[in-house]
Amino acid sequence: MEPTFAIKELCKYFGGLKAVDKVNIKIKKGMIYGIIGPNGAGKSTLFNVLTGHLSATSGDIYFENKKITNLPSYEITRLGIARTFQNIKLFKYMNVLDNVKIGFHTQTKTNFLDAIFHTSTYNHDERLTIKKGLEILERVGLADFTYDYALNLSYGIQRKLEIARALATNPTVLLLDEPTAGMNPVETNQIIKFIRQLNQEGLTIIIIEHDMKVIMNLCSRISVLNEGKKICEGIPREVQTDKDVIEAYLGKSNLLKFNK
Amino acid sequence: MFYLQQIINGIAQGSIYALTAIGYAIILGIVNIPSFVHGDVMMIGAFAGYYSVLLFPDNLLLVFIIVFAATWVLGIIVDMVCYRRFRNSPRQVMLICTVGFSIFLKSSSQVIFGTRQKLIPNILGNNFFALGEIRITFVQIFIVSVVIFTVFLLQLLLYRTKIGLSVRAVSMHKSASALVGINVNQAMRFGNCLGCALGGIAGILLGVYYNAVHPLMGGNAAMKAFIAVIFGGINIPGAALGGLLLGIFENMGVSFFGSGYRDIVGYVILIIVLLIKPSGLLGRKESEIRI
Amino acid sequence: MSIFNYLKNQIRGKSHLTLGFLLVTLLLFPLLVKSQFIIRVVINILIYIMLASSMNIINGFGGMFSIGHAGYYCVGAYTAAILSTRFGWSFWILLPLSGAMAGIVSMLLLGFPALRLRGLYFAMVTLGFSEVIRLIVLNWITLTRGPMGIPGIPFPTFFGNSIRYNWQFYYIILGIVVLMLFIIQRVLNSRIGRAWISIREDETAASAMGVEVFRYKLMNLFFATFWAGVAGCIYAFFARYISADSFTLDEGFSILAMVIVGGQGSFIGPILGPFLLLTLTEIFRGIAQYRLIIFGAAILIVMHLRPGGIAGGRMHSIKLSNIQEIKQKLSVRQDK
Repeated sequence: MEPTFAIKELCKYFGGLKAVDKVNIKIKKGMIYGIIGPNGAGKSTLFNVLTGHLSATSGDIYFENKKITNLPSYEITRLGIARTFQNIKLFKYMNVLDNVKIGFHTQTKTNFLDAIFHTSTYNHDERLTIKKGLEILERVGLADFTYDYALNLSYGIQRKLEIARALATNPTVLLLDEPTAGMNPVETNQIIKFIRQLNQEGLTIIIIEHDMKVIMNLCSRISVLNEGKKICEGIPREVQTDKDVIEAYLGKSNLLKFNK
Repeated sequence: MFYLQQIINGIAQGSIYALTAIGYAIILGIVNIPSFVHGDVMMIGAFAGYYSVLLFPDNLLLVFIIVFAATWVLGIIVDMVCYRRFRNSPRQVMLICTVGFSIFLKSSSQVIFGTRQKLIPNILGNNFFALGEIRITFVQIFIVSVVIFTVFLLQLLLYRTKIGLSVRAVSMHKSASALVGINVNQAMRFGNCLGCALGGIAGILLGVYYNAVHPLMGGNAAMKAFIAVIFGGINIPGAALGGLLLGIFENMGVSFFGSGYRDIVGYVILIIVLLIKPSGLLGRKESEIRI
Repeated sequence: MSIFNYLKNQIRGKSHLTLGFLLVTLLLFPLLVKSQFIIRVVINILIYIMLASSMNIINGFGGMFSIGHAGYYCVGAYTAAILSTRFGWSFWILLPLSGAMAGIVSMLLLGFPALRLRGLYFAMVTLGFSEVIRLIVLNWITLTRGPMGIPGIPFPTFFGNSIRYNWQFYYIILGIVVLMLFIIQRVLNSRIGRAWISIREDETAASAMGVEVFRYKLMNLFFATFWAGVAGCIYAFFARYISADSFTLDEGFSILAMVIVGGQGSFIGPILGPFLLLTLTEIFRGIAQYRLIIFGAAILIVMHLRPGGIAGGRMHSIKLSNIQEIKQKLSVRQDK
């Protein structure tokens, strides 16, 4: 089966710094795919190139056999690829519902004239954003916070809102950048269940994580990045015991101790 | 020959622009504070120079020292009014404060000094050197010398003193500097005052060049400083180069299109630079974030 | 600053009363006040409400920072002046035309070249734009009569009657301003307004949500400068003589002061700001220089004490979703 997401020889260099160096990854439709690696390995940079927030120095990205390298990010969102950010980028001075409403931008059409004259397009769009917005909040479990300002929310709730907002864009692929960072074990378990459920509903999920429990529980395949290069790929058990991976995380001297 | 004369005029004017731009580059680049008030600081420097020349017409050195000191103090005031409280606020707040302070300074100056321009007595005389058809006036030589000398002193300050080292470090990386024990706030204040003082010197040089000072002279000069910094890059050599080139291009432009269009040359350069290489001639390419 | 909050709450509690009171005052105003001078001051305030609202769209809702408003204003005024004095075009046609002209010129000279620039740089370019417009006006003598300005702009005509009196002008301008506020309100409370606010809050996140950031910034710029152009047309017909002197950088700074003091990013801010600052300057009437001293000081005071301005800045940008509104919208659908 043709992979839904194919990353071919992707490079992103910042002058002399090779943040992403000839990375090749194939992701099949319906998978939960993990990307792990020590800090600074280039994982978030990879995401930024995938979603059009950074331009690729060389290489290509294919989504459902269509080349999407260097498309602007709004175009990529339109194609059905949504993402969350490592640093939460919510719209702080808007309430939860309004944050989600933005996600429906690509599914609505109101233009100036519609807005001024409150045409049927306008009414339809407003109803849609409200109705679907509330639905998503219900689905994610944030219904209680609907009218709270985003900046007043607790950290775990903010992360959920980020996911809710991404879901509003009606994606087929969801890129999650450290979704459980800063969460306690209870919240982490909730997110794991939620992500699995989203996947069962048909979403392909690519997830960057540091929490090994999350990765091992959710992902069917994992790629490991270190210093911009992919150093290993496989099913969780393979990756867990791979020498290069252990060395990347723990350092060489510890590896020697391990072998003895 | 005519063009050579224009180039010489351009160098003289450009060196003033260069000095303004260097001061601005220090404030913008090293201290990373957007400043709208630099032009008016220059204007205050010019007026300080005007009054000093009236008081001490024989002691040029004293005039420059007074100007330097006066605008240094003004830099402290600018810091207190516009920057000190807002280091952790969104950057737009500081920018708006400088706009407000600029409006305030300009209009207060008009009330205090009157709205007409004041003529600076021509202390250097009207002598010039002649090389064939080309004239280089005493004033032009004086200005270029002052600028070169000031830049030389600046280099000494920045590269041979401890405070200069702090300022340079803070310009490169604020948090790293803090981590190695540099007093970042002090360095930024020093940098700000230094930039303002340089602006003051540039102001009095402008006054000498045009023989006049005027409360509204700051806006134009600030815009030139900004254009020069963008053109050359947000660092000292870049600012100097940008200023010089701006002066030369302006004078060439005036000879072709007439003096009414002088300022347009600068804006055209600004747009072209911003479209093609926003970091400027000698600037470093920043990391890009596309939308 | 709890006084502000107290007053706000008082007003909000009886919003219908205050609105009604306001409306009645506005409608009856010229009949109650006989002083032509005061009527002219109020007309001036109305024009600046348009300009401040225009700047507020860019600065408060577009996430950009523009200080060069004099330029757009100038384009509108000169368009109206030239077309009316040379070709006899009517005031009513010139209203939207001046707006469109201002919008197009700023899109071409400012939007396409400079919109990708960050805060300070874009702001400086708007200043440069403003000055370039003024310089072109001063030097293109065959078109604009240069420094001599354009005199003799005719009275507008309304169904054959010529509008000569201040009170007539007042009603016309009042109507236009109310229409403008209505249109702005509607646009802000729509998909377009939401897209703008998302750009203002976080451009990266906005683009990740599918918002075409550059295109929407252009739309924002056009929409805002359109109204500045309309204000220019009104000014031209009201003053009946324009020259480049009225469109210096100081004009842009004054408008900025009004927006900041009133509250950037709010809806009422650009109404309060001009009202407050212009009445203040009439109270301390003197030469123009004093006016700007007050403006400068006002900006500094507001920034230090209450950066959100009198109306309290961003929080009140749009009608945030509230329960009543949602129930109303959903129930309408069920009826169908």
